[in-house]
Amino acid sequence: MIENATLIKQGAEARIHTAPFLTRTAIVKERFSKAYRHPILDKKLTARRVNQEARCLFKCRKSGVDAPALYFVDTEDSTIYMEFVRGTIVKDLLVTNSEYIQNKGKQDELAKKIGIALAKVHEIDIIHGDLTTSNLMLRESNQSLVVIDFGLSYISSLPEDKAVDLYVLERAFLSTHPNSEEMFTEILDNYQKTYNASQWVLSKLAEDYGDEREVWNVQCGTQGKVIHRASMFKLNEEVTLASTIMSSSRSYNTKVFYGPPKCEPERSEEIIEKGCDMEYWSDPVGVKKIER
Amino acid sequence: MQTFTLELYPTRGHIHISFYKNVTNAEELRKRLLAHDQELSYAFIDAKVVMDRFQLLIAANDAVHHELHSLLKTYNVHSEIVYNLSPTTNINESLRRFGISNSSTSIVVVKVGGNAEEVKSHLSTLIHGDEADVGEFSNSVDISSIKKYYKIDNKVTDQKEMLDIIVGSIAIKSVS
Repeated sequence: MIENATLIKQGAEARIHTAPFLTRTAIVKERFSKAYRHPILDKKLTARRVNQEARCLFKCRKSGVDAPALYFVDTEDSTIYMEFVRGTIVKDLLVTNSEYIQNKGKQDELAKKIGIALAKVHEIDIIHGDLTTSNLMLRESNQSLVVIDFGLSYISSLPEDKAVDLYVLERAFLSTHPNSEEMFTEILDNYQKTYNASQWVLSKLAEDYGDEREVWNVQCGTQGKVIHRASMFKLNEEVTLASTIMSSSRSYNTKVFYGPPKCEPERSEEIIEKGCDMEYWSDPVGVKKIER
Repeated sequence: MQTFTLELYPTRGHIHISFYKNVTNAEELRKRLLAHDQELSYAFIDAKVVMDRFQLLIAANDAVHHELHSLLKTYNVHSEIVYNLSPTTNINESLRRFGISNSSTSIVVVKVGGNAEEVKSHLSTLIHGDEADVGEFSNSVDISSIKKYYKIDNKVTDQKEMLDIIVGSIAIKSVS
């Protein structure tokens, strides 16, 4: 670990430090290993996520989205070094800054910046994956909107995935901020103006993602013992990866469970058997399965 | 000459950066480099493609990281610095674009390890040219080459933004 690092935040997936780095100040984001995961799976997942985060972060920066500049990726230590952005988190602005709470003009100005930034992110097929007002900042030097934390980002051109991003942001707005509906409308308005293919995303947002979105828990394990657990909005490659590793280990009776929140592996009588060595949870609304 | 420490690898030694103008023996230096002359354990870089010392430090940090993890793609840590500066993985092309050419007259030198005074005096015997302040190499930068090599969009004009993209390209290269 780098010397003189100061811990500023500890999350579920990573620790964030600031540290002097090659004449500048860097944010050091270190992903740590999870004790409950199988070591091989853990190593692969962590390495993959570090790479994915670095790639998405750089792709955004290169395409003109204001995001922290990437400085260094240490694959061996699962650590990313990036620019330390001086500024204010948008969430703090909207909650504590009286200028933003009262002044509609200020709010619209901010909403416009958010809408344009989002449009640029989606234009290059990056799905942010965790778009909340805590992951947006205003840069102190030039008041530009900075998108941060690409820890859950991935590349996809599907309008559905982009709609999820917008949906998550909408939820974040509705739950925390005053005048949020107007602000979100303003965001969508600017998103639409900037992003040519926005109509597909917005129609998906209207039709599919009303209140039916669920967070799914993915768990996999051997003989009742859970060795990997994750939450996600949809079934993505993590499940496929987990099942590949599980099945290639050739251990008999390996299971991959997934289901809606509060699903417990102990409810094994509800498991529907689908494959030779893997079993799946079904969703109360409808069965979703992984193609093997 | 300026000397820096890599925070991540403080025991590997200092990073020395020097800048020479009006160099007349680039051809000789290049020949000796190609012959793997051990006396030349320096990274010789064409000043045209160097925008900021931070760019060099990022490349040097990557090179030392690769050296310590036995991940060097090239001959040694110094050639690795030149290779790292390039965003592509083509070694030949990287060294040709970012290393010195026979016609180079402005040269940036990066050295890993060694005593600052010794490095300085050794370099002054190797290079026939005028040592200049490291801050000056931004004067000899060729923006169009930089934009071409790092594939930077023509819309980008802000130097800070350009540097962000440059260091990002260097950093992302080691991500498989």
